[in-house]
Amino acid sequence: MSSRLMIVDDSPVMRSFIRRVVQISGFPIQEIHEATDGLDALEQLQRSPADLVLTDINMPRMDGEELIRAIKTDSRLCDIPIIVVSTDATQHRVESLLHLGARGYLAKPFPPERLSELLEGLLPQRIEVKNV
Amino acid sequence: MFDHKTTLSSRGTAQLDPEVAETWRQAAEAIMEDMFFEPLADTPGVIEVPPPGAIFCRAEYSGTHSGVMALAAEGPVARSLASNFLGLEEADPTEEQQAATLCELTNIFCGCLLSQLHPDGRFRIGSPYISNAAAAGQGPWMRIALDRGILAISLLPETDV
Repeated sequence: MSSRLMIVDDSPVMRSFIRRVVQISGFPIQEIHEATDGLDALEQLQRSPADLVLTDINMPRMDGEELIRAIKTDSRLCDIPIIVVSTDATQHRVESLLHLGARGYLAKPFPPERLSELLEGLLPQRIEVKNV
Repeated sequence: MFDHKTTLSSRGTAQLDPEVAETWRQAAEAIMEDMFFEPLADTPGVIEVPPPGAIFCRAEYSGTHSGVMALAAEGPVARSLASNFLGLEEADPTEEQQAATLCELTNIFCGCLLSQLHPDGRFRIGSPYISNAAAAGQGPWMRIALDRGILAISLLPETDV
């Protein structure tokens, strides 16, 4: 069993970093899609839903909070687990996004293995684990 | 929570509150080691001016607290950080990749420091951008020594900008 993952971030280098960490972590990912903001992500998800979404918060056009709301109110998408990856680790932000339905919150900076730990249970079992 | 204001020593040199300086040091260590795979070469210290010839990046933040985060990286440091962050083992990072990496690094520093200095605050960090030295912001700067050279960061609340 393999998964489809979506990375949502307006920073191309951050998308690249997350993609690399996920690939090296050994999860059987079939496809990794990238979106530059919440609106781009929502349009892609409505065409082809993913098994897991990793999203930034602070983005142009549609931010991560709006994206979570949109996913959770769409009957076709509402079951997709969402992990927030953000520099904003203030208490109210973390609590409000988890309350909205995010399954996890990863504050930057984070070591690669922390992301892998969050993905455990949300993705099929890892095939092999390598060091970054 | 404490403010990240600067003070002047008896010699007139800019200094950081020791507690704030420790927060900056811990953030620098975590960010460099966890995401850029670069251990610090030395204990960070406070300097009044950024390294000459550095590449500057800046981001404004607003909300319950407002101000400017600025970052200055010597050229070899910018190349090394981009190479590590993007996992480029052989090819040199392009200037565009270096700039994008410094912008992301500025964003990470800004969010990390604000979250620790003001955990009950509410912020929005503007998109970081490459800037010239004059527009990057004033000191004090925290000097972060890495194998390839010097990285410096500055976080100025609006009242000091």
